[in-house]
Amino acid sequence: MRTRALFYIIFAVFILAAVLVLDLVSHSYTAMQGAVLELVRAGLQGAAMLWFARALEVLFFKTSAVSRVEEVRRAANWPVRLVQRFTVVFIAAILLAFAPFLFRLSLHHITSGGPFRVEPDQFSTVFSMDILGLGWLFLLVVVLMSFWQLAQVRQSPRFARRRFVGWAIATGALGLVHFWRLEGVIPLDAMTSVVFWTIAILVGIAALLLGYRLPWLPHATRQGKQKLMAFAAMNTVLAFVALLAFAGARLEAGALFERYALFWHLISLATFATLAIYFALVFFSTLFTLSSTELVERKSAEVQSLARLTRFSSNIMSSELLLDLPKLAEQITTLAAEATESDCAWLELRSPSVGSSGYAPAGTNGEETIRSYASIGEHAAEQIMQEAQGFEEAGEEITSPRTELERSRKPFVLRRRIRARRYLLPTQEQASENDELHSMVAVPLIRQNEVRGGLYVAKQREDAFDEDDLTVLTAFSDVASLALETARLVQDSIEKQKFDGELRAARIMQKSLLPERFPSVPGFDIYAISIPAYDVGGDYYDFSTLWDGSPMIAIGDVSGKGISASLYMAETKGVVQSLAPIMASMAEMIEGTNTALLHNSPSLTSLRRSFVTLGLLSFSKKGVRYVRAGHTPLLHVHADGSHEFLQPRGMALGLIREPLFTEALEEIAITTVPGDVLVLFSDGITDARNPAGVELGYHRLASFVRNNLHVTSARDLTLKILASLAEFTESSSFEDDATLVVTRCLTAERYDK
Amino acid sequence: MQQENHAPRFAVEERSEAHARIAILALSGQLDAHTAPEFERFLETVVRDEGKHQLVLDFNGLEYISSAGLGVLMGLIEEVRAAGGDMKLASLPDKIYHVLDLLGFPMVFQIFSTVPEAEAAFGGS
Repeated sequence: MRTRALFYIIFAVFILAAVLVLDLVSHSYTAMQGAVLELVRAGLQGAAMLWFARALEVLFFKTSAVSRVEEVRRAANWPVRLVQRFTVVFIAAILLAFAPFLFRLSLHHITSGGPFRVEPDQFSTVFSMDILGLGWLFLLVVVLMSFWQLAQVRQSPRFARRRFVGWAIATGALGLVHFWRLEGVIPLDAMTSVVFWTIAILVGIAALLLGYRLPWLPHATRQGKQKLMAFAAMNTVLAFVALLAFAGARLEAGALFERYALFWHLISLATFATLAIYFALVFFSTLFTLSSTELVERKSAEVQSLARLTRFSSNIMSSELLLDLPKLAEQITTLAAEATESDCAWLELRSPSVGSSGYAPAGTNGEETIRSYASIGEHAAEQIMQEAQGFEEAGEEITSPRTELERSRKPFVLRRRIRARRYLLPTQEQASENDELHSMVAVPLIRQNEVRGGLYVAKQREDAFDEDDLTVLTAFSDVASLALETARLVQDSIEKQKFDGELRAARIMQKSLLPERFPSVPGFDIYAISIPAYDVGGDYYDFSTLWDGSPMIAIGDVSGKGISASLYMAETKGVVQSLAPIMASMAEMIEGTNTALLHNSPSLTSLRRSFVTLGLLSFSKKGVRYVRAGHTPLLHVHADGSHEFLQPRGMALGLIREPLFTEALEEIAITTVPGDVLVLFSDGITDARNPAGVELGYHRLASFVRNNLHVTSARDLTLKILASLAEFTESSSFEDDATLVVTRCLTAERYDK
Repeated sequence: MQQENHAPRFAVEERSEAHARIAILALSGQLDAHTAPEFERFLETVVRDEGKHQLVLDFNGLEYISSAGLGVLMGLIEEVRAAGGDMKLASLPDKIYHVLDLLGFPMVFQIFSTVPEAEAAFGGS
């Protein structure tokens, strides 16, 4: 990165040297020649400063094009940071406008003459003027560059370019007319004055157009928007002050800058005026959207992701697709592109090799890779996976998106500067500007704790992906890799013609759905275990994070057995995971999940064949909350040994629609003290029988917990409960899935630690 | 896992007469994942082949019902209601009622304490 910056600086110095040479060799000139020379000079000066600015950007403004999951939210505020940068530049410009005043530098000290009308009194005068001029020009270039970036955020490159270039042409024309008038190329009369002001009005209109639609605005966070408003207001004022500072003769800055670079001086005035208008527009648009957007956005995001997930899950979980692996892969790829509204998508999934898993098909040896491409050429996709631009700015040793997924195991966003083509061997109609991709998301496909490949989507626009896309895609990848694996296993078991293949497939699936790690919740110790029955039921537990950042435990039980139950479970898990971060409450989330599951039933009017019970327990700063949708009650054993079963109202999912469903749902708050134990369980636990046919029942379970209240770790407590259970049933297996999620409220000493 | 019990784990019989308008089905034993398919086939025969859409399920003899068993009810309730009929549940043992209550079934199914009450709820004609 350093070398790149150095190269830029050397390049800039060369251009400046060229300007100097130009100054030295040209002495006599006609008005026309002078005008041309001055323009060439202005162009060279601008170019030199552009390279300087780029060097500084590379060195100091590391707006990396690669984003990790946790960075995407921050990336939404990237335009806000750009706006912030303007403030700094404006202040610098205004301060620099005072410089001539401080150095007692005035145009009166400099007599006219020579090619560029500067004959110095003293060397120091010109020297300081050159430095100041370059400084002003540099600031102007930084302003223009930042403006160019801001204008491009979340816009289609062509559209943004067209508007910005329109503005630039108008501004350039304005500068040119002004320049010609003063240089005497065109007469300095009323007619040219009218032309000048007409173009000035055009510049104003272009400025309005630039600020008219700001697609990145709704994506900024609320805090970002408040910041944005403050900075936009400040920038409006600062841009106006800067305009006055450079236009007026009082500070001499304007007069000196005009003398130094006539063309750029006017451009700077036009730019400041434009930015004053632009930021005023930003201020008001933010003001008007502040109160409503957040709500509107959240609602629409929630509706959209529901619709997308619904379509996705119901489409890929159809049995005919599960029998046709290539078609399933194709469907997943197309849907991933559709769901994120991307221009193209592709996926890659390696199947395990024989030996490592033990269930590879008999007919195949070694790895088998499934690939699928939607709206992108295979070579192009392969090239992007092997080497994508944009990584160079991440400042890490990353060689390719593919290896990066394998290394980090986490999704990431490449926000800009991929600049890859969708088709490497373009036919005539494909070879257009629209062919270039500028941003992408890569999500790992993880099975059995191993990265098996990735799902990639890409767009032509820069910075085109946000948190919602990532959430939806991550949930997709879960269901997708599960479906792909299932399809493969189904294929295998068909090949093997073994009936128990399905059972094994379902078991492997169920196991791979359970989370691998337990969340760390301050003040609580959590442990969970799920023991599948011989013929596989549909228990599951999962951990996710709610919209306000508080951790949540989900426990569920799907009616039915085997693959269909496992798939239904996967679907539920996917929906819950994708809704958790966008719904305002657990109750709302359960309603959303219910709606999604009902939507997925083959016919919209029919009720679902199977249903899901769900219990959600969240740990926010304000306390523990519990919602129950048909699941077994929550066992709360108090530190003093008393216990209660909490059974707030709530129906199982997939049975009935709103509003009846919503009416029946109740969310409760639970008060806990250190030493309390909360136990979520499935009916496989309480329905377990001893050889005499006696059921375990709720109260025996409660006594198991009570008798082990002295055990401080949730893990040990869980194992103790299971041991007591095994003692009761005189067996180590269960007829139904048995799931236990034990939460222990830590004692004061441990909490402090 | 061959069961050598003398009494079957689960049984269902139609108690009403062959041409009665309302079919009364008595369930007994354990309705779980193993026995649910049997119950499903029986219910489908009554609804589809015999064309009876007014059903009263007598749960009196039922000892256990699993989610798979409940799934059978959910699977057919829609079809029955679409045909203008209904499925009503009667004389539920406390434990069975508890399970159904946990899941919120009382909001979907009408539940009566005796079979005649359930029959009466279908009304005349």
